[in-house]
Amino acid sequence: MAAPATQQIKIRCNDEKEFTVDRDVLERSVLIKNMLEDVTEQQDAPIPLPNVSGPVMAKVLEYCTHHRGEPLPSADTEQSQDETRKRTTDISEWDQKFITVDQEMLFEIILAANYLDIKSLLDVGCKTVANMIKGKTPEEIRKLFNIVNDFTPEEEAQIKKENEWAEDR
Amino acid sequence: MPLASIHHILTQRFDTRNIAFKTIDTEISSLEESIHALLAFRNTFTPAYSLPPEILTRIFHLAQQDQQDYIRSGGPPFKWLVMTQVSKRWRNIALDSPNLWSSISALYSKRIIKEWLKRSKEAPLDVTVSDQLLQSGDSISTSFPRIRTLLLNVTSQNWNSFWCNLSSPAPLLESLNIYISTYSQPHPTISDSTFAGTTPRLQRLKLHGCSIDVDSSIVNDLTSLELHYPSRKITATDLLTVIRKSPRLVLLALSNVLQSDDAVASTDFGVITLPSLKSLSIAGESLTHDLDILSHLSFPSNTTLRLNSKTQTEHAIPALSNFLTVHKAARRLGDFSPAAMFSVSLHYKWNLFDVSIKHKDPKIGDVKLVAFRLIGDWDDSIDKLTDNARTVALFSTLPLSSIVSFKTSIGITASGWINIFGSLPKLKKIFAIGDTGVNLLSAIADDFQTRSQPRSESRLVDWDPIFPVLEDIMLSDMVFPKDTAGIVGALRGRKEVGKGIRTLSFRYVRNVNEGILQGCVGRILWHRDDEDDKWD
Repeated sequence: MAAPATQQIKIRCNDEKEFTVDRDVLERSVLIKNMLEDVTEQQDAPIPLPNVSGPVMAKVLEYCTHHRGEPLPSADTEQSQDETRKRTTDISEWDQKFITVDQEMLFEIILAANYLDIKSLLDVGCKTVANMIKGKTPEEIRKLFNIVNDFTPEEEAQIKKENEWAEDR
Repeated sequence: MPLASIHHILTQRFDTRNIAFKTIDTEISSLEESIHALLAFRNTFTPAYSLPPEILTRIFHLAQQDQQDYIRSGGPPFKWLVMTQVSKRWRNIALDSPNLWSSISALYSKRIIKEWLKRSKEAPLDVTVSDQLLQSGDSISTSFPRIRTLLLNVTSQNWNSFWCNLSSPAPLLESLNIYISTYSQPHPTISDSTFAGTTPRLQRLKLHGCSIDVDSSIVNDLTSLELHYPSRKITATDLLTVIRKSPRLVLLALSNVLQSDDAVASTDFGVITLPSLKSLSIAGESLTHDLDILSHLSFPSNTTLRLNSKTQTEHAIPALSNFLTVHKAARRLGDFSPAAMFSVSLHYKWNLFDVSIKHKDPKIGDVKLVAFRLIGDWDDSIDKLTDNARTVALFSTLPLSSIVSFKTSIGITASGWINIFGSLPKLKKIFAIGDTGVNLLSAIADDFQTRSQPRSESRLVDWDPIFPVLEDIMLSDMVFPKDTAGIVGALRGRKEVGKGIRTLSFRYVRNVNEGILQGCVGRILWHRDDEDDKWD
């Protein structure tokens, strides 16, 4: 007997780009999962995703397809203080390769993961940025993200004071 | 011209100048404000600005978490503070994230503790208290109700006032880890008055050197219970009473907990089922009654079981017999293969040395040592020890040639390292605690300087370094030598002749210049104080 066909769902991004995707892949997104659960009848109209562009969605779908079938983190886990404290900046090899994109795309993926509520992808994105920051001086971080120093002299003085505190042991 | 007129003219000029200064200064200040506003406005167009505060906070936490491990292991603190020094927006977001400031360590100064407590607002606190922080104890005592994890690690005798502060409820406490040196007096007792008996969220309890009241309500429904070397041993029946109150235990570790002359009143207890237990460790001098404990516990067959018997030489034979009995019984309890360790302690004058011998497999009779531990007073040197006939006998009789790992806190001199351990053919891992680690580095450097024959700057000929197969060096509780030239040269030389160090690990090591060491070894790691397993 043939296996039951996987339900296909259509989504539409903010640039009108449409994707037809297996339901279990899309359900990596808690936002879409909840939307689908709320819909009782079969709908042909694509689900609108006004906060995600086509190219970013393509990357998100690549991630969701690779990780399809893996257990989703439970709400309890998400809330757990313990887990928050145990986070590390280790990223698996596949995820690392996947997230090797330009800075703009990296931030877009993080924002999309946040909007679509895909916790594991959000983690990969945030860990990547954390790893980029690690070991750098404030000036190096500014250069990396094209940020300029906008501190007032008073704030600079406070920072200097904090650095002196850090020397107290 | 009358004097009054001159005075009038000068005053007028002076006023005019003052007005000019004031006007220009106001203009500069206004321009500066505009520049700062423009700089801040420019930042809003960067891709990084698109990240909302909650995501930036998440990133800051991750970066900080990674560096907290580094701090705990003695690395330079506050590297993560750079996140607050990048831009106005990043700083404001960081300062507005109480959880970023909720880790209070013994390494911090009073000024920092005060500021961190303020910035952490009402967030639960993770506090590490050691001898240094005892002096700052007052500044954190008002925040006790906020403590989520408390690690108390003290060796001095003046912690008692701090302990008295632990009498109010700790509604958020999830983890309590107390390490009191066995040499400290007096020893605290966990009783119903500790935290006023109110710790509704306590999950993990680890005690070393303190006693426990069996009826204490804080020892209840734990997931992790570790009791090591209590100042007052308890009966097997009491221990089982304590265990029975925590049926969700995942980890249970007991070291020298039981009174030696007490057996379980078997009629009192049936079998206590611990369905979630993943790890059970039992260590004791003779394990006389630990068999009783095992016979009253039921746990999954995939639980990891560790047995460790430590005894003095004169009691070694009966202790070994007990150990074998418990070990055999443990093997019958499930399809696991318990890790086994049997240790013999030797007394030398006033000093106690633990000589631990870890066997390659659980067949205790097969003396093939793979791990060797020499733990004792830091001030003793191996050279002094070698004057002692018993120690000489020990070294000559122990089949050290097969050991793979060696852990020591004894002050072995550089020559001691070279002469006794330097030629061991299988020694892959050395864990040195205290100044003996400095001497180990000196030994490696001395060997390179005296025995290597650099033909040119980059080629070494016929150099067979000491510790021929050494891969991992783990150093703890020491100050890294200032003069690193010899060490760096030796580590580079080893690498060049294909005998490089794979990992160089640190825990509580000061003055490490990672930049200089990078490239001389495979990897540099920093370990936390709660990763003891990795160091054994």
